[in-house]
Amino acid sequence: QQYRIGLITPPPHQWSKSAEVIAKRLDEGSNGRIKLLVFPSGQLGNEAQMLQQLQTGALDFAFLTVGELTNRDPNYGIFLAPYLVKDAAGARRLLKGKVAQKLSDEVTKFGLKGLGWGMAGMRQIVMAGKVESAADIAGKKIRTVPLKQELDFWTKLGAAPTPMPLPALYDAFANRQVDGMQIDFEGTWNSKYYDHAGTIIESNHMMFPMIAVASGRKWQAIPAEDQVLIEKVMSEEIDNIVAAYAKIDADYLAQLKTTKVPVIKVDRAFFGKAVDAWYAEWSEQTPLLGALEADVAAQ
Amino acid sequence: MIVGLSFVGFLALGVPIAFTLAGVALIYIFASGNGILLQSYGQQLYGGLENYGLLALPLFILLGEFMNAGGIGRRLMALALAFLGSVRGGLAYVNLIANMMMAAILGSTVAQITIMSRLAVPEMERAGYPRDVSVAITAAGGLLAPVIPPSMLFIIFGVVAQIPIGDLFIAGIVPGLLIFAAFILVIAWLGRRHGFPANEAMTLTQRVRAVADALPAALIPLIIIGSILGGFATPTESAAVASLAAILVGLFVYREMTLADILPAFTNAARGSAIVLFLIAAAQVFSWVITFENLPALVAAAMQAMTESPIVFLLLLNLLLLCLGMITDPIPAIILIVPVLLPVATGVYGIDPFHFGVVLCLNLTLGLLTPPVGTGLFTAALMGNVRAERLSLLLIPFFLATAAVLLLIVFFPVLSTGLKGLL
Amino acid sequence: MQETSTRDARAMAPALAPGRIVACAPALGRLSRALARIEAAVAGLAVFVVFSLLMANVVSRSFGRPLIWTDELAVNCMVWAAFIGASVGLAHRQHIAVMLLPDMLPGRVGRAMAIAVDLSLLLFLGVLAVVLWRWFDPVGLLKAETLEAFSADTFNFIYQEPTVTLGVSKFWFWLVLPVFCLTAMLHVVAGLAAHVAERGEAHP
Ligand code: NA
Ligand code: NA
Repeated sequence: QQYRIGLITPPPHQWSKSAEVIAKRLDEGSNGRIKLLVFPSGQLGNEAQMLQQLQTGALDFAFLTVGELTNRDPNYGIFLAPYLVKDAAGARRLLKGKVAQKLSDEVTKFGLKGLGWGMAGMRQIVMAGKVESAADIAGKKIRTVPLKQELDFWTKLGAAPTPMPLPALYDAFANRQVDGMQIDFEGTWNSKYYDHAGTIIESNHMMFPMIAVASGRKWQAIPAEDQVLIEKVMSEEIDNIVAAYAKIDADYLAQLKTTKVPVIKVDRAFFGKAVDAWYAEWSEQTPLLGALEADVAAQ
Repeated sequence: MIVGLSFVGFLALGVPIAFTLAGVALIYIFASGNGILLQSYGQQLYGGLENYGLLALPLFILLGEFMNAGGIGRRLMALALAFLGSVRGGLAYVNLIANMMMAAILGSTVAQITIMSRLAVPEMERAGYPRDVSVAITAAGGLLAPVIPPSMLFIIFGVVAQIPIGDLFIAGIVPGLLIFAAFILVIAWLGRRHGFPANEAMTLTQRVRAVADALPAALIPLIIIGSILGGFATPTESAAVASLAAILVGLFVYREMTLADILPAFTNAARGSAIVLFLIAAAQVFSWVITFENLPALVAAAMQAMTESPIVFLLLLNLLLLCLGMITDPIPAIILIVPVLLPVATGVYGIDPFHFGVVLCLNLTLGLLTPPVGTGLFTAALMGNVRAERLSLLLIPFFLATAAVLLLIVFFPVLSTGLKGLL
Repeated sequence: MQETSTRDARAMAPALAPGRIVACAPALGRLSRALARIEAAVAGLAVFVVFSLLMANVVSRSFGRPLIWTDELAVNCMVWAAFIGASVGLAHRQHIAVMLLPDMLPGRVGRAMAIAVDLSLLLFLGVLAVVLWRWFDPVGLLKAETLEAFSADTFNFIYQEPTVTLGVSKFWFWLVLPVFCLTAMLHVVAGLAAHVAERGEAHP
């Protein structure tokens, strides 16, 4: 049986590598019965297009960032809460919590079947100029993705969140069309954003989850025995991705520290009242956030 | 098999290429038994165009309209003429040099051929040049547009490959100059063969006036570069900024344009870009269907199995691209090829992504002038009123010259990557 | 595929009696041209909006007040311009085609091929119409109690697809596809009528 998995990340990215591992393990585990074709780099379309193909059952599996789901249901944006977890290890525990499980179960309403939460590196900040306090960020244009929760965090800091397609970012940062960006260490290193950076802020201020999903329509048609194998392999490898990011983040940070750009380490206090203001607003808009915070507290 | 036959059949019948691609995608869906893809067909057709980088296309064509209406193109032509007095075949070189200057403003071959056909061809015909040869030189000159920055193709490649577009632009400069030099040689040879006339020498006063007259027009490339490097605009937005500059120069400096010219320019830009954009949408839907059937990955695997040498890989790639360039346009070809072969090129063979991009874009540019699918060829044939078959024969020397430059760049990567290191 | 076109031509022959087509051709031609003028104006307007939005982007960013929604709107306006302009291109026969064979063959065969091209285009647009009808599924939508029920029953989430920054449903933008399909059909039928009429004149 041949299946397809779609991803937006390029082949060298951890997600794409893990998808290849999954394909290999499914092949071996089923004695060659299950073949999984991997389509990286958005070859089958962007996330919205992949989601639609999952819904009709044309595409079987995908790794979707939380962004695409947040557009459809703001509850999925609660993971973007600033300083929800300290680091990748904390994120790993949270993604196994009750709220994460509930949200994973609820993707059925999008015509999907959740297979587990993964993530990308913790969000950091790269700025063109010197930064010593949050006041140095106020008034600056910061590249973000156009999600309300993210935009709101920067607005509350007094910065000007500037959505921009990722491929345009390098030029835009080099020429100061944006003064900074919210990004992970992996991207900062691989896309050489440090070339034009004045300060790298190790803030670990946000996690960025990804969900592995199957097409709900297709899943029903998969033999029960194969469902068990696929669920086992997927959840193990997805968990490996999350676990890997603690090391990936540390490795890329170490590499960035070899550049001339100063790296400063900051915590929640650095952002002053912005973080509290964010929680006040989004606890109201998405009450599930409270339950998620309870999950954190329980750990 | 059915798919291949219906593709050839529709094309031979004279069905527009865009509709052939979109229709063959449908046939492929039926033939492969994946009828479920039909439910995504509409979204894919629409989504193929939902790309920020593509915004540059209507804007470059718009810019071309304003440059034409505002008399900017004519000034650049006169400037080139001022430099070349009574050389044999002078107007042919003038055409090429004007194309070179135009290429520093425009990023699209179609836009450039559209303008230059209106400017250069009638003038050359009046001076006694054979019409078809004049059209061929104009069409070849259009190839400079996507190589000399700014470049529509490099923008699309940068978007798909996720590498900095500014650096790609720089990587195109030396190859662009090489093609320019190669074309000079071709024109010299053509001049001997067809006995090109010489034009009258201009007086010094005439020359000075031509230079002074062209200065405001020469501001436009500076505005493009300045708006990008000054942090005001992205490369895509710079086309809008340049359009505004062209409107202002045409309205207030040259005063050849009136407010009444502005609206038709937008309509013309919409109609002109729609033809190309619809072709891209159709090509995207087609490539989505064949990707779904995993064809590109099989091609990549086959290439990988054939050789371990980067040079041989690049030569094979060029062969593949030449074939692909015959039947598609550069933009859909980039979208088809880059996600599949760039990782192989950089990961397996250690090829620099900028080198890869220049080779790819240069090669696909050639495809603009080859039948059966060559937008540049057909635009030039249409604008110049020459049969496309005749034109493609006349273009062969230019084609060979570009292919020679391409080989040079394949063997000496420094020609594409060197300048970036120097700057 | 040529086979399909001829079969198609035969099937359509009684419905489209040459006499009636010749009579309709001028009126259809006028309608097609008038529609194309309106479409060209709308597509031009869309490009103007694209231009204005990008300028607004440049200006607002340089004042430190970047606009969030401009890129997405500009891209969608461009797609509208593309489809509406593509329909105009059909009316004016500007789409790029390989005319090697049709030009080489004698006039009578060439005209027959032109008719076959029109029939192929109609066939494609007909299939596209069915595909779009099934995607938008207006009947299913009317029957369903709620949007959620519609999606759950049909695995079709077209009406629940959001835009990222514009706050409207995506299907409003997708509606350009059925519009394109209809106007394109009208232009092709007008062209077909003109070809048949022309052929009728050539062979009285
Ligand atoms: Na150019
Ligand atoms: Na070609």
